[in-house]
Amino acid sequence: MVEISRRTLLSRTVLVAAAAAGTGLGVTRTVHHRVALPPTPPPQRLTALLSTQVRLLTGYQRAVTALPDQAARLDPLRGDVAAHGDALRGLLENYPGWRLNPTLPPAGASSAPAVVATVAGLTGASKAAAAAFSAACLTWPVTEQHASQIVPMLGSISACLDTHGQVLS
Amino acid sequence: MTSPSGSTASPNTAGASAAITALQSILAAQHAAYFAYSMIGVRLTDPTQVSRIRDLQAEHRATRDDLMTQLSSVGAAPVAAQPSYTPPEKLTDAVAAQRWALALEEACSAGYRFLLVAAATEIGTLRKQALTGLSGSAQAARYWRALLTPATPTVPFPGI
Repeated sequence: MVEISRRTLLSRTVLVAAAAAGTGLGVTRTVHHRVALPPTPPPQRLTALLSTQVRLLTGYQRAVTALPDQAARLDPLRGDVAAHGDALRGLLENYPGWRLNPTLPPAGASSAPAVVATVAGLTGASKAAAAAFSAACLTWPVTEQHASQIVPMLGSISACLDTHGQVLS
Repeated sequence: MTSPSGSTASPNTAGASAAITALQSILAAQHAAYFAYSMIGVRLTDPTQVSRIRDLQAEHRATRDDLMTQLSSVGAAPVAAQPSYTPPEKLTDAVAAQRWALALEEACSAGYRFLLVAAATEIGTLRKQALTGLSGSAQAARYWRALLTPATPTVPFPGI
């Protein structure tokens, strides 16, 4: 028979009790940590197109005020451009990251010059915007999510801005 | 698939069926427009509008022929023209004729937008064809709308 001291017996008893308590409390279980990932951000090209639309709409708003004799002609076009903004924001809602700060001006908004509030300025800006929407429509990646929604919408906006160029010319 | 410009597009298998359906709907709209513009032209007296009718009819005929070739080249039987087309209302005056012209161009726009949806699955000639067609028909529709409702000659989303 092996003899052990009371101190050794006590320390071993404490160790066994601690291990049992730890197991019971789940110290040895595997813990799966859940890490929050940032929501999908919208494609930069889409926010850049919204920036183009915002610039054009601002140009119309200034022109309608500055050119009251042209207001009747410009206001329906301004309404179309405002509708384009609603549609683009609707597309951006497909990307949860957009909801983080949907009121922020899109990237590059501040670097572009303001549209000159004249008929000629709006004509040039409309044609440039039509070209931007057309290029985005033609090159929008097939693999990108929501392409079947985005491509036709960009094409439709581009076609509308083409007709604006006709009306303004 | 051959586009009106003569180049070749190759829609992927998944999108090919939708693209052919869209092309057939555009062809049907082109048949209708080509036929109807003869009847519309009779009701118009303004020389500018008559000239515009002739140009548009020639464009619809050329597009129709190109679409028939395009569809045949991929083994699809092009949809045939109807024996005749009935206007949505009696063509008693120029305004009724202009309204029909607008409806015909809007039908073409809708077809091209449908093609744009089908062409979202590929980048290439088909998407270009759809966008060019949508823009062209939107501009033709704008011409007729400007005569009918001068205060609102445009719509924000052609084809919808």
